[in-house]
Amino acid sequence: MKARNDKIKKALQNNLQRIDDDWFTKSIVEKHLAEKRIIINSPFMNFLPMIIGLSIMIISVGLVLLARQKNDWVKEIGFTENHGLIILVLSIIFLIHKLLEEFTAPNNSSYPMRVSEGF
Amino acid sequence: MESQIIKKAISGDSVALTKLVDKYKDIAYNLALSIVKNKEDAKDIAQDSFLRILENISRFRNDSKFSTWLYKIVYNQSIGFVKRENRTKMIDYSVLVDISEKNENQEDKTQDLYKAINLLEDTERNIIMLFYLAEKSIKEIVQITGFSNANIKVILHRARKKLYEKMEYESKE
Repeated sequence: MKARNDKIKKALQNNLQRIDDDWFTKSIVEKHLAEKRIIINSPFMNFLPMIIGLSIMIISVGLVLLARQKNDWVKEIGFTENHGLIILVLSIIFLIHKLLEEFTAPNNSSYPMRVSEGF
Repeated sequence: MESQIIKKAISGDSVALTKLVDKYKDIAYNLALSIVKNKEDAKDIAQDSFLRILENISRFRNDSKFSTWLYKIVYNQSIGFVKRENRTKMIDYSVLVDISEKNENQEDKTQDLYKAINLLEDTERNIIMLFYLAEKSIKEIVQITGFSNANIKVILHRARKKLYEKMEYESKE
C-alpha cells in the first residue's frame, strides 16, 4: 500500500509543471507592494472618518452655544443643551476610537481571518 | 519558520514575499491547471490568488496552514472560472501531460501513471493532487474543497482503487 502511494506521489512530483515565467513571482510581489503603497499614501482612506467626527463635534458645540443663548430656531426644533452635550460626547468618543484604531492596528490585525472564511 | 516569513511578508518585506510565492506557486498553478485545463488561465488564477492572499495576509491567523488558505482560494477561483466559462470537461493531453524533453530521455516510468491520474474524474484528480502533491490531510481537503469528510474519503478511495488497478495491470505486462 505504502509503495503504491509513494508511486502516485512520485508520478505527480515528477510531472509537476513549473511556471515557465521568471517574472511571475516578481510581478506578484511588485503589484502587491504597489497596492500597499497606494493604501498607505491615501490620506482620505484614513482621515475621512476623523473629518466626519470632527465636523459633528463642531456642529454640536455650535448647537450647544445656540441653545445656551436660547435661540428661537433651536427652541423650535426642540433641541436642548443636553442633546448637544450628548452628541458632543459621542463625537469625542468616536474620534478617540478612530485615532486609537489608526495608531494601534496599522495592519488591521484586529480582524483575524480564518481559513473557513475564504473569498 | 514559516510564521516568521509570514510576519515579515505582512510588514512588506520583499524577500519574504518572494519566498512565500516561490514556495507555493507551482502547486497552486498545477491545482488550477488541473481544474481549468488551460495554462494561461491557470497562471492568471494562480497570480490573482496570490494577490488576494497577500492583500489579506495581515488577517491570517495561525490556526490553519498558509498553504491550506492559499489552495482554498486557488480552488474556489478555478471552480468559479470553470463555471463562468462553462468549459468542456474533455482532457487535453497537450496541456496536462506536458512531457518535457528531459523526461523523454529518462525513461520516466511515472508518466503512464500520471496519464492515468489525468484520466480520473475532475474531482478525483483534484483530491489526489491535494492529498499526494500538496500533502494535505483529509481535514485540510475538507477546508479547501468544502466537501464533507466522508465524501472526501469515498472519492479518495475510488481514485486510489483506479490507480492501483492501473499499477497492477502495468506490473503484469
